[in-house]
Amino acid sequence: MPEPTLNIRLPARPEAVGELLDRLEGYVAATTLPSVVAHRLALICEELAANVAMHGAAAGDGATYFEISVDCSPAGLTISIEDDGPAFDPLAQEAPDVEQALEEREIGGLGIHLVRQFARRVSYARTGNRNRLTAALDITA
Amino acid sequence: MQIAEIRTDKVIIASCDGRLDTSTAAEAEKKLLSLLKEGALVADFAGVRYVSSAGLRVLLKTAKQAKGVGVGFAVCALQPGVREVFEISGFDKVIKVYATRAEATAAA
Repeated sequence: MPEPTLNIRLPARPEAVGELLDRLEGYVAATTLPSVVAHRLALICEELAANVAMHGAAAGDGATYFEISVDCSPAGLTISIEDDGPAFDPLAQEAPDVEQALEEREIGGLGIHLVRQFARRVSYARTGNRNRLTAALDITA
Repeated sequence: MQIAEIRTDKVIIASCDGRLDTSTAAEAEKKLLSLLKEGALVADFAGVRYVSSAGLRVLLKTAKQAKGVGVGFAVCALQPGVREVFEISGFDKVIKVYATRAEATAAA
């Protein structure tokens, strides 16, 4: 049985993340994905969407929307997110030191670190005036 | 995210339920930091089905505050998907994590 495809377009605001996660929970309920994989999928989507919502927002020239699509096949999940914000490659940011002690721990970059750890592959492209990140995720825990 | 408070003679249990994410982090942080003012705190995550980096940020802030004022803070009963996020981020090394509420309470 083919797994469904999901397409969500939401305003690029942190508040939209709640709706994004609700929609993703509805989506995975209709699939046979293990719960740990469903968690990885939701996390990748949230981190990438939150990144779009935060980046550029302070300067007032951020994205107006993000659009996430999730495609599930026996070969794996393909997640892509597109936005109309200024060119920004989150993959080019420095990775956090996850071995640091409590006092030294800083939070910057943690979301993208988690995305990189969970995804088999992540890539960034700037096409026209759109940012597009694509991540591949295994469907087995 | 719902947080119910349970007061025992040793600790306060914050029994958490729902998702700890970008949209729920601020309220959860306020609640946990306020409970911490009363003493040692255990966040029971048995009902937490999802934690993102925004959620980890809340727990890090709570753990730092606890250390600053010299009271205990621990998290217990992580669901498998949440546990994985703790491990991959290295948070299981900076925040005390117990398998059960009973173990967390006993260690407090």
